[in-house]
Amino acid sequence: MPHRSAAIAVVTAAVALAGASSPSRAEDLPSELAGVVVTEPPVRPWELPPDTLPYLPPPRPLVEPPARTSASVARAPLPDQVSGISRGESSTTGDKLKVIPRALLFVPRVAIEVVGAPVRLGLYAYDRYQVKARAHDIFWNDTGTIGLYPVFDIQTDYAFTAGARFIHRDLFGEHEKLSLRASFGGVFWQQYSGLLTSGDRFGRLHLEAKAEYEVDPRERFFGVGNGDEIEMVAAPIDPYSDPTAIDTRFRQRVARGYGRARLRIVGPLSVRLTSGVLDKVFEEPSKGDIPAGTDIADSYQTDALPAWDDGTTYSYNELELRYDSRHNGDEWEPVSVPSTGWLAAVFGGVSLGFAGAPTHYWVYGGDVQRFIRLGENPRVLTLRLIAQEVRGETDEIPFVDLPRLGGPILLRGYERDRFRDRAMALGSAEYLFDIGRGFAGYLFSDAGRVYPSLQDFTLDELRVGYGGGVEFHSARSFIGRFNIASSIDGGIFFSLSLDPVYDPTDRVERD
Amino acid sequence: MKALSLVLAITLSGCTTTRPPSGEIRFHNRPPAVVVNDRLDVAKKPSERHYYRNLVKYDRHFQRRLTRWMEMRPARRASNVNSIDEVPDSTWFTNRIGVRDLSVAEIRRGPNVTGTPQKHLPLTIRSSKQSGVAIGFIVEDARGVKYLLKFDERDFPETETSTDAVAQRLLWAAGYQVPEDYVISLRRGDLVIARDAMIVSPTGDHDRMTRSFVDLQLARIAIDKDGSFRALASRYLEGAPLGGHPPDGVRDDDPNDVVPHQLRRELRGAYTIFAWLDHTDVKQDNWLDVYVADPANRKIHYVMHYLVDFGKSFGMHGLIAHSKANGQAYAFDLRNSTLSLLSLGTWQRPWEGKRWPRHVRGIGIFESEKYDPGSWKPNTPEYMPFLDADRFDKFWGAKIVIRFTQDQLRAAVEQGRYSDPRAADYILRILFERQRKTARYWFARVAPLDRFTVLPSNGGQRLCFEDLALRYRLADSPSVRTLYVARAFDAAGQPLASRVVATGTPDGRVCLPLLAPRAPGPDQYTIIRIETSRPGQNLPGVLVHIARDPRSAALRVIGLRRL
Repeated sequence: MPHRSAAIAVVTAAVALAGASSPSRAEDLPSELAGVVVTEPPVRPWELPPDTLPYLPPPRPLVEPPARTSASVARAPLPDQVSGISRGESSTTGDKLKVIPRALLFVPRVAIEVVGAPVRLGLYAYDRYQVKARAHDIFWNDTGTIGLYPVFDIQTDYAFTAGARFIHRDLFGEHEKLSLRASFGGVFWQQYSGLLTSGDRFGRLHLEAKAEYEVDPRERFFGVGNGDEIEMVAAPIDPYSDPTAIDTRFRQRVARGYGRARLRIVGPLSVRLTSGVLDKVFEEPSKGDIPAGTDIADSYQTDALPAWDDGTTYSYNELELRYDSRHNGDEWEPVSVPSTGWLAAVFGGVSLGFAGAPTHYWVYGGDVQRFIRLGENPRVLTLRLIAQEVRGETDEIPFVDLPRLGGPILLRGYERDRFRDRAMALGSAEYLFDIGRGFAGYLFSDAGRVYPSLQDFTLDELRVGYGGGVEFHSARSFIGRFNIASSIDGGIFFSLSLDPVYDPTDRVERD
Repeated sequence: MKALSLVLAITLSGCTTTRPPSGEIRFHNRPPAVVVNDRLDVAKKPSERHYYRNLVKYDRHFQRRLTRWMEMRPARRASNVNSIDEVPDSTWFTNRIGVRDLSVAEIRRGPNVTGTPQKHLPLTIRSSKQSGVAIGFIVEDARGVKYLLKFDERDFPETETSTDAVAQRLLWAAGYQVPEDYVISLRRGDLVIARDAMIVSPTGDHDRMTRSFVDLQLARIAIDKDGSFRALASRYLEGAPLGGHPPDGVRDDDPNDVVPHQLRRELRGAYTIFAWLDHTDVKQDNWLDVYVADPANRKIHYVMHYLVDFGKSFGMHGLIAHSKANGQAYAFDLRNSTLSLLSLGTWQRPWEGKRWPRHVRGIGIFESEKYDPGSWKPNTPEYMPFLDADRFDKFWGAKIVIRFTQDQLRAAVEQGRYSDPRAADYILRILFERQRKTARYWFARVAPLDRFTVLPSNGGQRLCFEDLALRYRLADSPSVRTLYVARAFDAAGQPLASRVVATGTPDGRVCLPLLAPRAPGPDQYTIIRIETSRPGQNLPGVLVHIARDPRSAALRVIGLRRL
């Protein structure tokens, strides 16, 4: 190949003239010379034997060899003898020294195994004995429409609660639902409820009927107004004339029965009519149920609390108009995490006492939420404004029906029901961002306060809470939120909430 | 804190260990093993292993993952490779496209030798599917051949059935043992219920199967407007199923199983192949060991190892699980979650901006733009061989991946029987693009020199090899800008006075003259160290061990050590 020999000659000469060794980096190559071989020490071109034999790689077989059998491989090496290595490689210094951390980590490793053993045993038993399937067989019928099963829950101030629930998901063939539940928790906390819904029976019209009875032995009362909290007072005060806040508890029994009709008018616009009867009885708590010094009667004149002495029985009727276009911004984002759209709800309701009960007031308000999608997965900025007011004579509005702020839903960073008065207004901003499949992180700030009336609205002495947490959700439903919050008034609050923050508060359900 | 510093120091010190340029390993002067004997008789059937899903998830995500790290295991290369760093044939793996040319007809047929049950209807239902969450039946065709019948979910037509058939051909061609899978079209009347057909519940209870049960199951699957529906018939493997293999260690009751699974090359190297196919549904349950009788002597039994259930490849897992992160994050990914949390959501996830034809029937979340072969992740970290795989294992897998030609890929994709030709075209294109991306990635991390052989030349003998990056046009620079610098050493590691420099060639085939003075010793054991460099890229070296065949006196390659 004369062309190749000439090329070799050129390169060799160049190398010799340069007095440099042959190139060792690709960048050092002088020019486009394919397949040129340069040797060191340099060999004169005419001394290089011409290589005229082509390079042909060994041929590859074209057919599948016969299926292997025990006999056909009998003379082959065993699986751990195939390396062909006659002399192995010594361990690296790092590998040799790993004996030290291995020894140091031995005890912690054993500790983790010991601590994790019950968890592993539990999971083994769960899988081995198909606990989920067996539980389904025990608690549900074959078609999964009728179930009677235990329920467990966590309620603020009552910690762990347990109970039982009966449910029929398809009473008459159109997914009508009947649900009966009894729960018990903490000390003498009790709840009994029954629910009947119309399912798909009436298309766009959805009907619901519910009855509940609750005993809450440790409800909270911090007085009325926007006052600062103190430890104690020398003598019980009138909460309606002195806004001083003291952390107290009381006991109440609530029975409610109501019906609801929701009609989807067009698109995201719907109207909801609620009508029900509520019976509320209030008492001082048992000393054993509450922390020392938090009896309501120790700090507040209970006879100044409307409906305290005799309780109250009254009807409540409410009309709500709602525009709800909230939805996930992308079909690949969970339905349970809306990232775009609006919620705007306005409502008006009236309460009238029965059997001489001195209850008569109007309540009205609105809730506006805006979800702004900032990015995929999603990242969402949620802005909210909510306001509510009751109108009526002071002694005709049960103190528990005053609008309230404070807790894991409204004005986070403060105790539950920390503030109450005839009106409240709240603004909220929250940034939520996806962390992984099924959970998201969030940061928020809530600012609001209560007022004697909305006409007294002012930005002075606003209460501001802030914090963050982690939200858990499935693809289709909210599961819960773990919250860490504080406020400009101090304190740190941890809470686990199983209620979605941005579902408008159901007035008839609030105690 | 001190202990942590010590751990870090020791870990880093492993990076600075120096070895002689000729390496420390020496090989026996014999040809590499191409097959192993793991078919010794196992008289007693090994016990069946059950897959405890939640226990495995907890272990692999948390406890076992942590304690495994705390064991401070030394990094070890695969231990079942032969002297030229290849996997011999075994009950785990049969070299096919890696060592021979497969015809298009072979790809089309794959392992399917029994013949499709489509021609032997009706199918008689024997029982319901006993495990997993997908709908399925155990059926027999008119010949009495038994199959597992699976379907596409109602909201995802032509997904798992098509994907399984295509992935099955490719994995078989790669070398794995897979069952016979057939995509068939059925109507309700093609399924009949055997009189003794049973519904097997997860708790093991048996109930008589009724027509209404079958109708209820079929109401959940994708049915075409003309009433027909697709199914995947997977032929039952002959033998006694033993469940999946343990990802760590060996089967204690299988005497042939002597190589810890986390050190098996074909399992570790499957990472690359699975990444190419985006087969993210990697768990113990998708491997199946079967206690079989030897085909030539039915009195001898041993365990064969199969790979099953590939219907969630090609992004189907992400489509059905509604997750774009599939292939780039674990279902619960601590690293990604921590980054998201600490950055308050500002960290851009790798899967953001993924694009694929969303409304074409048969296509999952399968694309090549966001695909990163080095950071691909299955759905869970439970498969230990993937966690232990090193770049040599992944390079081995990449060599197999790049061997598929366009015609072969097309032949495999045709087996999916996609009703929309756009789906087949798209999948073919993405397979090709991911193939090249995969190979380019791993060929930049291990010197892609392969097929070493000593050939005669006019002046003596030469060491020839193929540069796979050039062979498959994967290098970014012209072939001539690739440089190979070779030095020779004798068996004692003493340098021989020879240094050869060569440039690349367009077809990747390079020969280096063995101009070195002969190495001492009767077998003239010589070690050739080859360093490869391209503009902007210095690849790790390769040590090629050569010795004279005592019978023929010809020089031959007896060992290969990639650095």
